[in-house]
Amino acid sequence: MNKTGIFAFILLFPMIAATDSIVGSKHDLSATNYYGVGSDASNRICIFCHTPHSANADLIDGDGGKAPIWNRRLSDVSAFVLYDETPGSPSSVSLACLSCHDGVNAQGRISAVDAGATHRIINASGSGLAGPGGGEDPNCAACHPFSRPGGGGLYPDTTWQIGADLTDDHPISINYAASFAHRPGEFLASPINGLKLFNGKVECASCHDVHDNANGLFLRTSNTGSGVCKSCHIK
Amino acid sequence: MSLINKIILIFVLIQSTGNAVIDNTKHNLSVTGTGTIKSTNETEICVFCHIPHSAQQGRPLWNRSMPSSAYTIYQSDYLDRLNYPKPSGLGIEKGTPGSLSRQCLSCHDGTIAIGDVYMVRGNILGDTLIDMTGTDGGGMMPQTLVANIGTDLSTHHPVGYEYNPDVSISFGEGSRNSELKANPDAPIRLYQMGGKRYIECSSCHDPHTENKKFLRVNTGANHGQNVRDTCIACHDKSGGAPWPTTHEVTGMPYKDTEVLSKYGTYNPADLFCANCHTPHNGEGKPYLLRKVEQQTCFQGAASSAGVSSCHGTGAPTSAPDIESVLLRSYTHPVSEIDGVHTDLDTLYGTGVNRNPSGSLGLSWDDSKHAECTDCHNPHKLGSKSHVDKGQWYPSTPTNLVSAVLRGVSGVEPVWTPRWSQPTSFTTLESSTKEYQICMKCHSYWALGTAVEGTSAHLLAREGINATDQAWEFNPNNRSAHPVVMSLNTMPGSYEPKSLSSGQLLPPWNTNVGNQTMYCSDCHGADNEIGGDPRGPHGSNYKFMLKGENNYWPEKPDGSLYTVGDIFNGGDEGLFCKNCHNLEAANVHRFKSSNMVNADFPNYPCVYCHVAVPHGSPVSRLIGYDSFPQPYNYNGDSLKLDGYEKAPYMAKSNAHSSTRACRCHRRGGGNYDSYP
Repeated sequence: MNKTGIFAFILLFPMIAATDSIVGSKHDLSATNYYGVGSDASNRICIFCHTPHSANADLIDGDGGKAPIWNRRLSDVSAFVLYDETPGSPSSVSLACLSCHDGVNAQGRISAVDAGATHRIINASGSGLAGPGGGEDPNCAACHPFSRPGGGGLYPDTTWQIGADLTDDHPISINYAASFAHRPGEFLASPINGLKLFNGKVECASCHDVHDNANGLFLRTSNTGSGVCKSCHIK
Repeated sequence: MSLINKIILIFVLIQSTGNAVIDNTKHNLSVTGTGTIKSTNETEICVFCHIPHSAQQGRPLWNRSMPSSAYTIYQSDYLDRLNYPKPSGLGIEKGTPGSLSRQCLSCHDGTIAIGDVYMVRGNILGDTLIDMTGTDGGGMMPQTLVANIGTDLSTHHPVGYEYNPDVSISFGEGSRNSELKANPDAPIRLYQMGGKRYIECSSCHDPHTENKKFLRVNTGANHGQNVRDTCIACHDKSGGAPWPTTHEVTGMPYKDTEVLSKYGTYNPADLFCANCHTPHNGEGKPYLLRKVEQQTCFQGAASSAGVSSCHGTGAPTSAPDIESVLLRSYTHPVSEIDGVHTDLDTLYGTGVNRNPSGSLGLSWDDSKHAECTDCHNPHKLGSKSHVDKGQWYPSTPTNLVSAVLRGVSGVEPVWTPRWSQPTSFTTLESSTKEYQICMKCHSYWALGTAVEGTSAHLLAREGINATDQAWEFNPNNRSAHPVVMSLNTMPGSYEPKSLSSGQLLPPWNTNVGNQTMYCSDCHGADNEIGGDPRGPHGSNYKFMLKGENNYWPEKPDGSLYTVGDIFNGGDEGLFCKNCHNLEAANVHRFKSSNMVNADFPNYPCVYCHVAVPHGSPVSRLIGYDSFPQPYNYNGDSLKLDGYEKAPYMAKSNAHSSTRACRCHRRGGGNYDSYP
């Protein structure tokens, strides 16, 4: 590699080196990361969200957007109220995140996910579908901390619980180009710093990289100096 | 370009992230902030106001608690009288009027610590504050900062108010509305709530921008112009008249370096509204005046009149110095009475119910005052009076308002029979004649009931009670100076209606009988011909009598002017000589060798003439011995009890029962009645 190449590599290093693995992060729901109690004490990580076959067929939008081979269910997408205070369903890409982050429709909370839907992945490990209402309950401790070690405990209130009321959250499933045109001078032409759009829309995964916590809060880029905000907003 | 160079270029482009706008402003409260108030350790900028999840009450995505303060809302009699929709306070829930402004006030009212945010990086802070420097002991914005608005919003531009250009109030003739444009000019923003539009702090301010004072407008040549353009984006005070109409002076700059450092200009035309008004922290309430009432006119935006280009003492320009004139012996009480004048008070004269109840109006009883804006409309006036420079009187006399009196409210009396008090008035949104402005206060409308022309209100310096000028100038009277209408059109007067041209001096001796005149052709400043500002602001002469001659009915030494003075040079300073050629009146010339008539030259003018030469129920401003003070000087100077004017006066045209005028004991009998 010549000098220019080395120089470029050094310059580019921060961009390509700022990655972390999902292993050991808060999204690692395996029994290794959260002490395992429950029927599956395995180290499988991806199964909490993904399955190579028989994924959730509901999470496909009319414009072709879809959740990536999703292994979780939502029970009632009509529960959502979007940022602009109209009832409506976010895109499938964000519904995927919300299948956990929406919280659970229990204990007085409103959510698109009831306790049955949240406790059962669609396709259990091993061959064969678990079937509707069936399936394994992998690793209770990941969500019910009182069961490590021990058992039971209510689903705790946490700040990552977004809920079905999205009026207090950054707008998602909105068309970026439309906002760019509506408010001239307030947005970059397209997001930078690795932030991405999905079918031209802002979704949860626009700002968050669900597998990589190198920047904290699974953000795609560092938020020092509010760098995440400034990847789209000119303020 | 080689691959490596392309990669380097892309890298550089990506890292230069957009315009770092708020970063360079005082609203960058992070460690990289440029102002005095900033955090010692927090690197995120947006988090001081915004949070992308679990946002609190407020828009958009608000990260602070709403202050619970009860704010004193801006209010004025003007808005009440217009029935302008008024909020009861600033809303607290998001989406309610005033809530957006309450969000700004979560730092700017000084009650909540600047580092008091709800959540940082997923952690709810609770009672913990972000550590800040530059705040006061409790972490709030220091009280000494101009940006600390506090909770008294009455001296700040209204926020949380609906934007409503359709509200208006009717006068007898004309109406006044809220003088707002149908839609504000960009970039000013209004906020839609519940089908109506509202103004908030962020209508004028963008809290992220690098523009000075966070103004949305930045297209002006200097900050002064940006302030101006912010105001006139919504406010249309000119009534559609093309700008400039007033205060357009570009040749009269401020001399105050503070004006330059604040506004980037010395030019009043750049400041425009901001010469007199300030949207924050004005001393004059309401109407956001910089100073209390007339003091605003004296110094404008300068820190004192002496470095302004305005109407105060010592202003080093040729703007009329009204402040000094108001210190003379006889003045309208502009500088003496403050806090009484209310806008639209013209509508609330004697007998009209006050709105709002308990407010002030036009009344010598409880609202006596005289402010600059009672006679001048600073938004609509031009700089010319009705007289050319260097003259006492206009070349072509008139009673129509001049440019300097344009757009001022007034009253037109409904005329009653001869020598009685008009009590019914048509209120005018914009006077067409000068006397309509004066009669707002100098008639029943503010004076209240008068008896035989005289009110109950003493003019302390002049030593007489104020008389009712609508009463005196009533066209149904038999004589009056032609203020309301020309003598030839005066219904109460009979032929010969006017004097002859030989009896008058220029400019009054042309077109005799068809001319009209101003109240302020007689009343004005000592030296209008030599530089005093024109108008009845103040004078060292009693009654503010103006002209080359200033005394009536007493000479400077206190003795009375007599008929003989007209011919023997003793009439120096006699006021009437300004316009009247007194020698040409045959009656004045009367001489006889008879002993009695040898006394005639010693008879004071006020033996025959009313001492208040406005009008009389008798022709030629003659008065009868039954007239009361002040028409009858000292109550006992008038001698006649019968008079009739004629083209050629004869002895029988006057009648008297007194010894002094016993030549007139017999007479014709067809005398002017009283009243």
